[in-house]
Amino acid sequence: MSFSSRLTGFVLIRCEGGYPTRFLNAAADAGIPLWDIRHKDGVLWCRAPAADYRRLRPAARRGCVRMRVQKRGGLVFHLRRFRLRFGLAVGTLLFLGILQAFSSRIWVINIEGNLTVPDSTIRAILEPLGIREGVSFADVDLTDLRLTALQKLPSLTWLTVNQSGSIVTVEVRERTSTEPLSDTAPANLVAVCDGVILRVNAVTGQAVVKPGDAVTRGDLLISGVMDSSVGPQLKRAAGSVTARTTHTLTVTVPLCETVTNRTAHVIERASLTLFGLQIPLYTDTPLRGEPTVTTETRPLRANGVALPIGLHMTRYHYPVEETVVRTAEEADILAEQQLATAEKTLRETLTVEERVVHREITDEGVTLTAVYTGTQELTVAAPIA
Amino acid sequence: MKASKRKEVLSHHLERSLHLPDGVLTTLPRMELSGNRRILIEGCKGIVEYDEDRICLRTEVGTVRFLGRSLYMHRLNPACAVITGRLLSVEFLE
Repeated sequence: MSFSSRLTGFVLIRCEGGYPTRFLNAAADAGIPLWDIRHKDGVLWCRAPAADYRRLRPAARRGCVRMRVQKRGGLVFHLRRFRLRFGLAVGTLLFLGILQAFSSRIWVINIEGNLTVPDSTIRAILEPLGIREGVSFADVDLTDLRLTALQKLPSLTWLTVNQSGSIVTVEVRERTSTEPLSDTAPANLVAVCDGVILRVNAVTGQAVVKPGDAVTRGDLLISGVMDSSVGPQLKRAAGSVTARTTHTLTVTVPLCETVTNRTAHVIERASLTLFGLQIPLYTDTPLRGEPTVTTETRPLRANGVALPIGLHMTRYHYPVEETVVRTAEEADILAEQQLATAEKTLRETLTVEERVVHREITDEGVTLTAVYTGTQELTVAAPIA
Repeated sequence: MKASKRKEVLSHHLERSLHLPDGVLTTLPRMELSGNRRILIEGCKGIVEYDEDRICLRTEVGTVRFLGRSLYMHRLNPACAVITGRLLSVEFLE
C-alpha cells in the first residue's frame, strides 16, 4: 500500500454475489484504482481510495455485486476522530510554528579549543557579531565574523563557527608563545645567584671563572665572545658551572592578625535563563557598598548538550575582616608548613647539603629562619650586551 | 474497425522497417515478469476470469491466461494490472 493511500485514506471492500470480474472491469473502466484484490470462496476483497468509494457504486450495480465496507484506514479517518477537538489542531499548529521559528535560531553556543582565553572573553567578542542566543544563524556573516573576532582576540590564531541544528560550536586555536631567546642566538652564561665555584665545564665559549672563585648574581661565567685570528666571534655559550650556594628562607606567622575573608558574606541572586532571556528570581532590593561580583551559569543538560534553559547565579561578595588569634604552638605548626612549601620550590634547583633552622618565638609571633647550603647549577643564558 | 486494423498493420510494418522495438508504435500489451512471483501487464483491457489459481485478462492480442497458486491481483487501474502469487504458466488464447 502506497504512502499516498495511507495519507488520503482507503477502504477495504467486500463484494458478494453477482459477477466480480464484471465489477472489476467496470471499476477499471471508470479509472478507479483497486489493489490487494483477492477472490476466495466466492467473495471478492479489494482496497480502493476512500474518495472513490461512491464512484464504485455504479460498477457494483453493473457487476450485480453487494458491496460492503469492512474497514477504513489512513490518516484522514484517524484525524476525523479529532474533528471536534479544536484545541488539538490549534496546539499542533502552534507546536509546528514554534518548532519552525525556534529551529532556525541559535540556542546553544559551545566553545572548544581554548586553554588560556576564557569562554566569557570569546563570547563577549562574538555576541556583537551575531553569535548569541536567539539569533538566526542565516543572518551571521561568517567571513566578516572570523576576521573581526581574530582582530579583537590577538591571542587566537584561528577561529571557525560550525552549526548543527540550534547548536553552534565555535572552534578556536590559541597562539603558542615563542621563546624570547632563540637557541642559536649569541649569548653569555651568567650567575643566577651568589656562590663559590666548584666546577667549570665550558663546551662553547670562553670560561671566565675558575673553581674557587666567588661570584655574585649576574656575574659573567662563560663568555660567548671568542677571540680568533679574524677578530672576535660571537657564539652561544654552552656548558655548566656548579657552585656552592647559600639560601635563606624566613617565615613569620603572627600570633594575632587581621585577615580579610572575601567569602564570609555573600548575597546570591538567581535568574532563570530561558532561550536567551534572563528572568530574575529575586526581589529588586538595592545592594549596599561595592561588592565583588562573580557570576555562574548552570545550564540544564541533556546527553551532555547544554540546553538554553538553566540558572544564572550572580554572587555579591562583601569582604569581612576577621581577627585570628593563635597559640604559639599553632603559629609554629603553620610556620613549619609555610617553610616546607617554600623549601620544596628551592629544592628543585638546589641539592641541599646542610640545613640549619633557627626558631624565634616572641610576643608578636613565630619566626623560622632556615639557612640552606648546597650545590647547584649556576648558569643562565643572557644576551651579549 | 477496418481502419484501425489497417493502422495497426501499417504501424507494425513501420516498426519493422525502422528497426524499432515491438510495441513502440503498435498497441501490443507489455508484460514484465519477475521470476514466477509477479507479473505486470500494461495494456490490460479487462478481466475475463478471476480465481485463486486462474486469472484471465483481455488484451489487444487476445486473452492471456495465468495459471498458478494463491494468485491475486495486487493492483488494477486503467494503465496496468499487477498479479502476484506463484505463477505456473502463461497462455495466449486466440
